[in-house]
Amino acid sequence: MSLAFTSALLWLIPLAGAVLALYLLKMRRKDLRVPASFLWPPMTEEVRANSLFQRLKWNLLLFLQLLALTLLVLALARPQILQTGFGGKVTVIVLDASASMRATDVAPSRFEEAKRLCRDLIDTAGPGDRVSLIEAGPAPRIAFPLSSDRARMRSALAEAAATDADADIAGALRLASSLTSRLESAQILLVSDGVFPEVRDFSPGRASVRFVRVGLAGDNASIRALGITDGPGGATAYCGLECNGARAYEGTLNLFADGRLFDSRRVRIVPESRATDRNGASPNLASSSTTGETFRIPRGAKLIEARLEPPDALAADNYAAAVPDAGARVRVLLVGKGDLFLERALALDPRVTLDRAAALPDSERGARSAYDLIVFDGVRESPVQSKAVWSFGGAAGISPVELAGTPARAPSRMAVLPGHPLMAAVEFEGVFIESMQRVRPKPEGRVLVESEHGPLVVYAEGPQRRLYVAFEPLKSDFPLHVSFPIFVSNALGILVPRETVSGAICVPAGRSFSVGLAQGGAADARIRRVAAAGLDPPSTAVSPAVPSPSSPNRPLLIRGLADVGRYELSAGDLRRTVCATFQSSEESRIEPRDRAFLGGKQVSASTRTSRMGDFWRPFALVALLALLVEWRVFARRS
Amino acid sequence: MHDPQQSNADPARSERPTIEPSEAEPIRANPNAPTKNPSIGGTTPTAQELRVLDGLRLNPRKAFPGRIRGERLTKRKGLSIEFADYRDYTDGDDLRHLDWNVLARLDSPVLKTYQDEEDLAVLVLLDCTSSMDFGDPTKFDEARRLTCAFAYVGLSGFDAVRGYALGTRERPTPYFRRLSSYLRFSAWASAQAVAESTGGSPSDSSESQPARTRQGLSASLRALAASSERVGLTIVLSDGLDPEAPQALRVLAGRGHEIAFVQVLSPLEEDPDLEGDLRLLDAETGAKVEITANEGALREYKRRLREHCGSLESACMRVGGRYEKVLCGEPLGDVFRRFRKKGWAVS
Repeated sequence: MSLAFTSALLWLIPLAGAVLALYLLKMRRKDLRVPASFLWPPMTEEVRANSLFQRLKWNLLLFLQLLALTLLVLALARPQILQTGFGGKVTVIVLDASASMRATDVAPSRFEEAKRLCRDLIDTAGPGDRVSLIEAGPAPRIAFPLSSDRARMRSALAEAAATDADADIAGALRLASSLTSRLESAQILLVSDGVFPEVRDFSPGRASVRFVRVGLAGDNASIRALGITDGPGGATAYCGLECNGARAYEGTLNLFADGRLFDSRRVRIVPESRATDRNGASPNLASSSTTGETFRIPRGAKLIEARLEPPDALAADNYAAAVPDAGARVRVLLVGKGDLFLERALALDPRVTLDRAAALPDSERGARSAYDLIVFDGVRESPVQSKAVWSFGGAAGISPVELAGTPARAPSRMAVLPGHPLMAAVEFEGVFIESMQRVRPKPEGRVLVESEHGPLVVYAEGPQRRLYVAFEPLKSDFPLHVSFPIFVSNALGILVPRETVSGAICVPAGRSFSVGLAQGGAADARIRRVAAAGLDPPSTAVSPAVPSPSSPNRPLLIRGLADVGRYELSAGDLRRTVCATFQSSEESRIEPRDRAFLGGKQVSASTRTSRMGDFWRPFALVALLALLVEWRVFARRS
Repeated sequence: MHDPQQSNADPARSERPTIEPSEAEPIRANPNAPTKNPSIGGTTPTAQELRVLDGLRLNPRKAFPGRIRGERLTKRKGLSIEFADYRDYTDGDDLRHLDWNVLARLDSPVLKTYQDEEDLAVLVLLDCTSSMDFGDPTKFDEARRLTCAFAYVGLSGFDAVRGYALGTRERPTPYFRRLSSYLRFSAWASAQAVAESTGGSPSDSSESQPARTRQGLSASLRALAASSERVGLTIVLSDGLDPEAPQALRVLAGRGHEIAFVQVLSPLEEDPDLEGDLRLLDAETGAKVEITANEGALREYKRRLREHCGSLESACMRVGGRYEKVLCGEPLGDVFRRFRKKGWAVS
């Protein structure tokens, strides 16, 4: 048993002191003259006192009063004991389904242990308990809504699965808060290992938040990065390794090219201040537990995979893949105040490596550019040397337009030039644009969307491909339309053309991505998991859901692949290899946290699902009984 | 058989003072004497109450030697009509008491002797200690009425009645022998008040009695026993609330007195109506006792009171005396009917 408000016990000092003082004070008795005092026995029962001073004597009333007072103060301190079940509260269970929950330091895994805890909780739920389960994966979802149907709860819980990706714990908690916001006594139960960033933009409202921790150890080695660079002597792969926890990792780093082993090195990764030695003989002192290995990769290799063996507690980060093909990677610099819709739409392309900047870096003002595409989102554009430029709103010379006046408000009629691949499956009908820049197209500019105030979208070919959009996405509701990611995907395909359509694709696990298809190839699109390099074939070959495009011209949008590994995408005659990788420094640090920062306060972790329920009522009841007995004794004595 | 203690002559009955029925008020020698309840609690008996006492005579168990001729037979030989014995004639004997029948038949001079008749000393002891100032009417008022009543009965029987105020060092009254002295006796009784005590503030202890000196009940009884007072019927009217009272009564009886103890108690003493936390102040000694007047304490008090009253009664019985308890407010007629029934007085 513990006390919720231990400080309330301090009230016992003045209150008990006051009661004792009343008994220490000598009673001022009423004087009465009697004929003979020798007939009266000196039988005094102290029932009250109001004068100074006397020796404290044993008194049943004093004992009962102190007992009642102690019990009342204890009740005020809100004693709590471990209780099973939900106590009649509305409970929203947030089940962490991130990659770290797949760690096997708890058999069979943290996630299964978390499910077992949730199952135990559901089994102890009373008839009045209403429970909901939120699966906190990359995209939080309500596994089952608030309900008292225990069979349904168990079924939904059995279907819950972890992913090899970061979890959006903050989103899941906000979702849970929205479920409990209108309820008086609700609780949000987060079952997790605590391996997630601080959750700041979350308020539980009137609900209480509990954090049940699963997991035991934090020992984990991971492939932090796998990159390929072209050099004079050929392509070189760099493999960054990291070790977390208390114990060093000793194993083998195997490198595969197109599924064939081409290099293997013995590594020993020491946490903290020690680094890897190639042969594991004499470790070099370093300031970080991260170290790297470089490999020269075979010519003509299309897919490089790395694997640490034997696998440790978390197998997902022991695998990495990279594509040597230069066209398979597109470096994009987004210059602007920030637009989440645009960033997400750009990231849908698995080739894109996105950097962000509020203003154009000085390094990009020179003769060479490190980026394939520079996007000016609402900021004044500057001359750059990148392969392509994409401007929203402002135009300053490099765009295929000239300014033609002050901004215009809310165009009502917009006409799309049909047939251009940039506008394939893109519709502007119903799009509201708050304001747009009045421009005139330059001679090389081709107007793709026209309005009554002038061109909306203008594209120009040339050594440097240029695309101009006369409005900022955030000043319209275009990002909320389904055409927006298609438009961005089309623009990327036009501005930075895919040099190959048959190469492998590397995507982070759990993240949605799009793949451009040939005409009519999306009708029978399927993706299935195949054996990754050095791994046994997966136990199941169930394909993840692939949405059927409504139009054959649309790129194929694939929702996140839950598991790390190699997949094969087939659509018509198209066969592409998709490698889902997991590289997260946060999730690789799998040591369970003792407390979590949730919504502006630290929540201490508990390893039990049993809750500390209030236990003040029995104390108050016994105190009341003590007072009744005291009153009875007082009445009899007086 | 003729009661040896009872005289067959009543020559002085004609001296009885006439009290008219119109004199319903208590007889008061002292007009300032308090009268708390005229119906039952006056300081002296009313004329109607005295009328109930007419014809009663005190009935002691023992015979006491008298000082002068009176109405009570004594053990001494003397002149009366009560035959006592025969004895041989000796020279000088009064020939009038010679039994001539015996002389004629036996030719032997035999003299008849007779019991002597003398007065009876009746000491009426009125407890004036502070403990008597309790109740409504007070025990002192009740004792004072009974004192007057006993004096009235004694004077009616031509006994030598003398009043003592216990608890004080005042001198007793002279011996009153005629009913005509009743008024003087009642005046004395009315003038008595509760003696001043150190323990409390008795209402009657006033500056008007600066000469009164406080003395406990047992001390007063022992002082009387130690004095040269003639022995006789000693009627004690007191509450007896002195832990030494039983011993003092035995001492007094050992001196030769016949003890008739009338314990006057207030109904509130028999069943006190107290509650709460109290500090009890002894009216006589000033001793303090702190109590919580709850059921247990009251039960213990009643047990102690019963024990004390029992010890008083036992002490009286063991010395051949009498004991009777009277509660304040009891009608005088009822009280004396009880006395008569128990042989304290005869018609």
